[in-house]
Amino acid sequence: MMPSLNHLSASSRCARSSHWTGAFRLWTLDFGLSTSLLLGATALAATPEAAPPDTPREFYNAGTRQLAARKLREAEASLESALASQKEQLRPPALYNLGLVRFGQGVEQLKKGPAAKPTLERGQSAAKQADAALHQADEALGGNDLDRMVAAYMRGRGARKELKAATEAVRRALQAHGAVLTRWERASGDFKSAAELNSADSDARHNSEVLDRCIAKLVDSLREMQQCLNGMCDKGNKLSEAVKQLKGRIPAPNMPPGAAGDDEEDEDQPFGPQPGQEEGPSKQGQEMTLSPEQAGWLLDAYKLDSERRLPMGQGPAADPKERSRPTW
Amino acid sequence: MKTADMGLWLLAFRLPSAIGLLLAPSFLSLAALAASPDTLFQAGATAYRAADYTQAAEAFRQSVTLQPASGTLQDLGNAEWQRHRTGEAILAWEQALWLDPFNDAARQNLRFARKTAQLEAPELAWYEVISTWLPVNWWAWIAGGSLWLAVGMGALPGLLRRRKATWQQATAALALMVFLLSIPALFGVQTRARIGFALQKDTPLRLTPTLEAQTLTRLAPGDPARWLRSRGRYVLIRTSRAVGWVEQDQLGLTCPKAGKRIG
Repeated sequence: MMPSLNHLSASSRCARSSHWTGAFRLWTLDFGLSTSLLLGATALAATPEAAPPDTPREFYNAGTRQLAARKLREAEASLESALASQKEQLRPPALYNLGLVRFGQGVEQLKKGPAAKPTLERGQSAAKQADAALHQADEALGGNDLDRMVAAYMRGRGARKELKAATEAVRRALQAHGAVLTRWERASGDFKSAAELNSADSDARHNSEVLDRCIAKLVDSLREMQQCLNGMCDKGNKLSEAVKQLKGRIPAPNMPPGAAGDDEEDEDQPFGPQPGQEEGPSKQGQEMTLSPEQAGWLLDAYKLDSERRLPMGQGPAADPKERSRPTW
Repeated sequence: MKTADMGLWLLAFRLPSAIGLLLAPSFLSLAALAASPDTLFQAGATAYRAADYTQAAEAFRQSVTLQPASGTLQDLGNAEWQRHRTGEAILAWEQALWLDPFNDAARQNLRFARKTAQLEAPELAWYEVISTWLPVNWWAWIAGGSLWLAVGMGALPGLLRRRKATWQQATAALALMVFLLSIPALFGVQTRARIGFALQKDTPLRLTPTLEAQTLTRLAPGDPARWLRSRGRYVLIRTSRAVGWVEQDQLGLTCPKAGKRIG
């Protein structure tokens, strides 16, 4: 069943998505599309391209066509324009289709962005490695065995690197999923609004319920990732501290190769200023002296275009066009 | 200055709140309903001087409910401004000017408040600007008086079987001209009555009249808007930035009865 449209012809189109749509009813409406096509068939044959939408109804139809063609960004703009016209009849179907568009945008973002489960698994694995490295570092710091300290140091550095990479990946996934959450919340609002405006629209209600369940799952996933991120940050700090302590205990000749220039601060700020780094001395030279006239030329050169005169033409001056009509 | 102009619309608008106050177990409300507008005004002024702006605003509001007056509205605006309720203050001052356009204090307060809060004044059409020159009921009197004068001067000599004098014809023409000139002002009064102001902070301007609507922008308290139409508990308004819906209690109209009539 599709949202009812009074006194207007409507053809429905049902599309099934492969993802997330176990129970999601995806109906799109061509609001008077068949009528428009029938009436405008000859005109369309004459014109190579369809004219850009002008009326709210045309915006709605354009948005619906774009939704069917999976041009989601364009569809959103068109449907928003249709809604902004505040046409009472267009509002519920436009909201319904806008909900579909935004849901689809969320799905696309999910597909493009990093997947939650592998990212989470990677984060958990990195956290486990960090735990093991921390344990080893604690044991090494408890004794005086140089070899164990060097081994713990090396393992700590490796775990820290992996932890950093995993943290970054989780952070990216969090951002991507957060954006999807925003999209889906808006889509759910659209479906709820459509159902509020048309209480007989069971599809909109159903879709909003399904979407709310998807949002709940997404929020759970986001929460899990956030917890994982917090845990990784904590472990990263502890690990950095342990690695620093190990580095302090290992004599310089015994340090593994590459350890001297591989501090965490270096990794964090690869292009930042080094500690103790100062700005280099300015170029040596004498201050240029300018006469008032030279200074005036320089200042003139920097003036805005409004005061700059255009060069005169070299050829013969042309007569102005004769005006047959009065100049008012 | 206290005038009892435009009392009916304000009374009609405030009647539900007056009933609410009657039911509320507040001592002030019970005392206020028993009191006269003058007593309430005095109570408000006393509270204002004592820096009790909440009580002052309440007393002024009740006084205005019983007897709308430009001066009381101006004081109500002052009390609301002191309570940091910019939207309510601007609305009260605009209502004071609606009743009495010669109230310079209200005008200056409005100018100061808008400058301080960086708010824009409503954009008025030329006929609306003309309508602000005189109090709104004056225009009705002028239009009615001039029309009847023109009709009288034109028709009475004939009805009394007397010859039309030149002065009678000149007076009829003049009265007709005044009547015609007052029509744009009357129209301006009608359209100006639909101007309202956002009352709450960050009032969401919705794309659709629904609970879960998309928010187009947020209005600052005191932002002007024009009432277009209503649907349920939402009203469609036009601001300088966009057209959208707000909840009815989030918008205060200069002439509240106008909103009820339009809706």
